[in-house]
Amino acid sequence: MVKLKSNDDKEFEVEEAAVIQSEMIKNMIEDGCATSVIPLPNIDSKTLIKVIEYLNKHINMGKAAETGEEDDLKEFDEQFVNMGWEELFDVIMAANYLNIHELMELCCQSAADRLKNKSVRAVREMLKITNDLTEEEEQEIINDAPWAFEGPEIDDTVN
Amino acid sequence: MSVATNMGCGAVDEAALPLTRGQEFDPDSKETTGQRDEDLLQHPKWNKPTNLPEEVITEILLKLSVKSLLKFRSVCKSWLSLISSREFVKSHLLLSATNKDYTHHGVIFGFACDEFQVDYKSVGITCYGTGQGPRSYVEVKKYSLKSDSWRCIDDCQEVEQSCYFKRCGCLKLGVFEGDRSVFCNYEWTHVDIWAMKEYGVRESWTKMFTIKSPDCTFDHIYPPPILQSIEGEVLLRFGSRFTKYNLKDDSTKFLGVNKLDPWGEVEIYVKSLVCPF
Repeated sequence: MVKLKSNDDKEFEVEEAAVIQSEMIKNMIEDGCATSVIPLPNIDSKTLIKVIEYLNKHINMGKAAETGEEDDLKEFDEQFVNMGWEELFDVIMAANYLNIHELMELCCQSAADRLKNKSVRAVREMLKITNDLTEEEEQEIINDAPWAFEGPEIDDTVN
Repeated sequence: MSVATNMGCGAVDEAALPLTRGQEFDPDSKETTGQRDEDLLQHPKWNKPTNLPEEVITEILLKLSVKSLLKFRSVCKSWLSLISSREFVKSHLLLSATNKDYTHHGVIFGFACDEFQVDYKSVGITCYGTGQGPRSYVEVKKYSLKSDSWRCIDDCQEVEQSCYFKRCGCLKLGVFEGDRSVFCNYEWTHVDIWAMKEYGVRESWTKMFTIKSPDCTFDHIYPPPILQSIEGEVLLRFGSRFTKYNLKDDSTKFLGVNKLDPWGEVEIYVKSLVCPF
């Protein structure tokens, strides 16, 4: 078992087979740096619980293919990313920090799916981005490909 | 005046803005953010600043369609330069081209243009048989837009056919799911799809599947099948119509597109951000 500690001082025990899906922790274990508790200063306990849930479910990925449980795993993934926008970003940041490739792919795909039809204004708001383009520059980009800014699918809501 | 002390997550933009003398720096202060859309700042979620690293933004944007990306160039300067960068365009094209769910693909007919080469070149493949003996010849030429000329990449390659093809009426060479394939049209009743699983190894020719011509139509099958989707369906054309062919039960479903020029060529293209000019 490997012990992980969130930034709000909560400790979690995770099976080594599950936790080594994180390249970062795998390297730490290989280098002998994981003898006691591994502190994760960038991850709060709420997010860490989600990440551990994912790691435990995906522990037997190889076996799933043999036993026909792939559909089960697919369903789990679909349910897993069914979370709030802010929460999704916390998991993405954790997956990026811990270097868990599959989890990163899953969550970034979900983020992209949520963004794809959004209006520019909605994207700025969702990602808290300050528009630093001048009105002329913005108009130039729109004139370059006006069809990209049109269509019934364009969604101006923020969620 | 320096404000670069203990900048927390998300405070980078604020730090770049000059503060008036004597003003206390507050990363959450509305006045110092330079935000154009004032109403956004009233949003309760703004209490928690996010600062996604560029590599994460890149990961997300790479999964978007060309249309979304062209639109999102106007989000901010950093997105504009990221989406316009050569590196991003290249990565996006590679991902789209290898994407098996084909949502980034389109179909073009009339002429063929392969955009796989990011150096703005097109590749043309010509295949011709000698009519005698089990051999076909392939010529691969590269077209450069800049010099407006064709250039041979490899000297004419000889593709050795498997003896299985001898009885076939018509042969056509193509690339199917990354393998070199031969599409055999046998007396206009069915098409066998053969793939060379290992490049240059004659023994590796494998019959992938057979497409039967539906009884209800006199139209010929026009090889090659264009796409194989993950559900085991192949997109191909019967005469002047596009058809979805189900490999599991040999059923066909005609699609909305019809009245194709029977002599026109149909090719698959990948939507990309590559600009050839």
